[in-house]
Amino acid sequence: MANNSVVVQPDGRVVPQDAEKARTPFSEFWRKFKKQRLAVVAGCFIILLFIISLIGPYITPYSAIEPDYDNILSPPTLKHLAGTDAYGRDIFSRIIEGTRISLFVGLTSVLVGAIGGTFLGLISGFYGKWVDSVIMRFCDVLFAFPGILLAIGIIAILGPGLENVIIAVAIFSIPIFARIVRSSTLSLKATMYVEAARSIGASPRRIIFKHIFPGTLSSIIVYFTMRIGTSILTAASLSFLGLGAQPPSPEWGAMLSSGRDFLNTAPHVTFFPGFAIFLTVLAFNLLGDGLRDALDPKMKDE
Amino acid sequence: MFTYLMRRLLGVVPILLIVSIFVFLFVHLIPGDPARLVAGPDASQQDVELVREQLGLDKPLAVQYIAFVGKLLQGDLGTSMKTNRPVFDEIAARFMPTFWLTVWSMAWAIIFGLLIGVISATKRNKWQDYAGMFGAVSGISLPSFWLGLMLIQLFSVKLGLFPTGGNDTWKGYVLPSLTLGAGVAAVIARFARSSLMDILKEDYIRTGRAKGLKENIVVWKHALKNAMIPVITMTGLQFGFLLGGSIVVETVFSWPGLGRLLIDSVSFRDYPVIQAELLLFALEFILINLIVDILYAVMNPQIRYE
Amino acid sequence: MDNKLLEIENLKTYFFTDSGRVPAVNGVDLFIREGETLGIVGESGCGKSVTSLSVMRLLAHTPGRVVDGSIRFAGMDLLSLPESKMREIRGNEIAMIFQEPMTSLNPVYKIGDQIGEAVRLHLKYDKKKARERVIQMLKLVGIPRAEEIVDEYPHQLSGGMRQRIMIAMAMSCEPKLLIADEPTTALDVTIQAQILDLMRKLKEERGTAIMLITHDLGVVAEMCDRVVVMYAGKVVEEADVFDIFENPKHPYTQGLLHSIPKLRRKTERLQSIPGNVPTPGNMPSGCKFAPRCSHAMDVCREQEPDLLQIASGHRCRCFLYQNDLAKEA
Repeated sequence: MANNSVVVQPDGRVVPQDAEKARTPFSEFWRKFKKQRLAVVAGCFIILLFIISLIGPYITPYSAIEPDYDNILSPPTLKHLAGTDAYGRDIFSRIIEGTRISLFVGLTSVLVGAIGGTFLGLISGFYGKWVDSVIMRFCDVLFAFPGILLAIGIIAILGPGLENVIIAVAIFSIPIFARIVRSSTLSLKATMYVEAARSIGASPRRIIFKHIFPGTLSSIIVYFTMRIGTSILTAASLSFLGLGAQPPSPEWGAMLSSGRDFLNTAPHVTFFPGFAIFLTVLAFNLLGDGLRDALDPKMKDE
Repeated sequence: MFTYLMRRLLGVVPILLIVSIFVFLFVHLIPGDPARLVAGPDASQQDVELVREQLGLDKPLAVQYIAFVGKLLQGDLGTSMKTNRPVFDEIAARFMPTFWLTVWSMAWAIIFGLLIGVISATKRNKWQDYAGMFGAVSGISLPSFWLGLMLIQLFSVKLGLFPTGGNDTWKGYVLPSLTLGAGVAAVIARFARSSLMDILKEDYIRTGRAKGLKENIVVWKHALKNAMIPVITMTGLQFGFLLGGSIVVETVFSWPGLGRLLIDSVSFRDYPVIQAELLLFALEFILINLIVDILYAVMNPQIRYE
Repeated sequence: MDNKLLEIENLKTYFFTDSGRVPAVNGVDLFIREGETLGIVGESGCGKSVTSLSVMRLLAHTPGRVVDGSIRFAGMDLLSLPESKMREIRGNEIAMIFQEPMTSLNPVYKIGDQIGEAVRLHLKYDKKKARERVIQMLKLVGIPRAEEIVDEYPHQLSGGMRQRIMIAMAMSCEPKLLIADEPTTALDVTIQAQILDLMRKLKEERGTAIMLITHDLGVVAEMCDRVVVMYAGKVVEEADVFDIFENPKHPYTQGLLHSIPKLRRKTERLQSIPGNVPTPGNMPSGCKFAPRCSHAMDVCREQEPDLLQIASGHRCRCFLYQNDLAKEA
């Protein structure tokens, strides 16, 4: 609590700092977030994953693609930390390579879904009436196809492949973001400051992007984080089903799928990629939980 | 109550309509000539034209759609391109295994989910709560195919307690339903905890305690019945997750159900079957949501007496 | 007749929060005789409700904890009773009604089940007998169509009716003490009068002692035999109801009385006490009321006065009178 008596704001103003008051929204968020040790650990783990996905190819001890027929299905040893697969490839190296794929798929698909859904949600909530009805009916229909089914339907149209998995997962993220953003838009629309902005003649676009969008941001951030976990999981499932990344890609779901045949003799081939998926998804979910508690404690579990 | 039911039933109609249009358009969304798709890549141009005429693909879309719905209402879902049998028969044979798998998964997911949720809510910020909630967040993060394979590895390969797949005996249900229910149990636990914690702050809970009731009765009778109202809605939504999840789990456990049929059909490009499955899954999901709404009304006197 | 039913001594109830320990009740002494109505008066946040919850031992699910003092009820030390014994007292010997009738009844159970629950628990009645008792209680509290209302749900009733239900529930096991925490605050004025009439009638018929928590001095004048005035977690004055209104001693009590609108003097401006109740984190040293007190002396800001007897049955926590006593001595 021993604070300096003044603090320089980012915009250059010097304001007296009272330990209890004068907190910026960010420092308030950080104070609450810091308390959630699990979420902080998860956040650090995710940063580590991003670093791995950037420098992955430079640190892998073995090639992720080249077969080594002298070392087939070797159990974990000091040489091969996670053992080798049916082609003698080092599983640890492949998992490191696969980090990039999983993060890329998770991030891009949710980003596309979030942008599309946020846009629809803002419009739907702000304009109401028939626009709202049309968009919400559209979401209802997407929701009528439970979970991964919609993605499978989309892939049945587009054909298997990682790009199509991204598109499919993005599309099935859209209605989720649309609903959340719509409901916070509705409550923000009713608040005073939007009323005030409207009365001084601000254009709808200005009201939406200057006044409403920032208010919806905290729930978007929370769901964004949580959806990344779900998306990585969905993408891995699709690859496992043979609809996504195809061998020899070191995508974790595809790796796991190819290990199925050796479950009796070499369970490590399925164990390690699955464990990587689990840890990564867990980290995003824990981070999402922590962000939710710090940003918006009223928000409920989905 | 009656008006509420009617309103809900009528609300389903437009969704059904749009879903059927979506599913109908499905074949037309696939790049390429639908007649060629149905006839198969090796068919001659003549055969393609024949198929086009047989299926009415040369008529305007609206006419085709009406014909599609008409057939649908008679239970005619077309013919499988892989087996040449009616799609209806193909699906009918696969329906019950999936049905029972989801029912068992849901049953144990509800029991364990509620139990963990209630314990976590009543032991708030104690070790039981932390353990329960960490278990729950792990549960929603587990890839079901991985969990399934690990369970097989442990209980089938190593211990030999349960079969690795198939639904011949009750033993065959244990591992698949555990795998499929894990995620749902986790979601129910988290949701039950948060809604029970909200309810425990209510004034009428204090009234119950002031009456001299045991804490167990306050929680399990007074609080839980109220907390169940949102939990049921949410559990209904999870059925969708189960239906989707069953696709993966059936593949892992070689389960002769709808999910595996769908994956086989996607790899075989058996479009009539895919189409029928999409429709069936959507229908089931809509139906379950309807049942949930009715349950919700039954639980909540405020709606029941409107 | 000096038969003390409830006696609270030096009660200290603190709340333990993230930002530290908050003394909500900080040394309360009071007692209630059998069959007597004691009014507890004070602004919101002065610790009235926490005192009542401490008596009921209903703080277990809040961050609050009784840290010191004793609560004796009918010869028992409530604070040292095991929880199972305490449950036999709650709703049976001490019953409580709350401020919010709209939210104090469980929305998913029928009225009859909710009242009957207490009857079956404490009086060991079977289902049929409990139902008869419930109907009898509903009639007693003036509910029309009692035989039908037993099978209705709370949301079908108005706020006034629900408060009658709460009273019926509280009185159903013939408690010796009824704690009423702002029972009429949330109700319309006409309904308020009806509820107060009902409580007075029940008290006279059954000899139930009442601890009436309120911030409304009009309610006190109408209902109470004695009054305890609380400020910042402490009792500042205690006297019978006539003395409080005719001869208030503590400057805070005087301020409260001045802030009641009086019909006869229309032209006069309403007086209010300047300032606010100090928040628990920012308690002044010395007398907690000193910063708002027009009579404050130097000693008030340094030392805290004790609650001392200034006349028979009249106690006051203020240096103004303690100097008198000192002079006399």
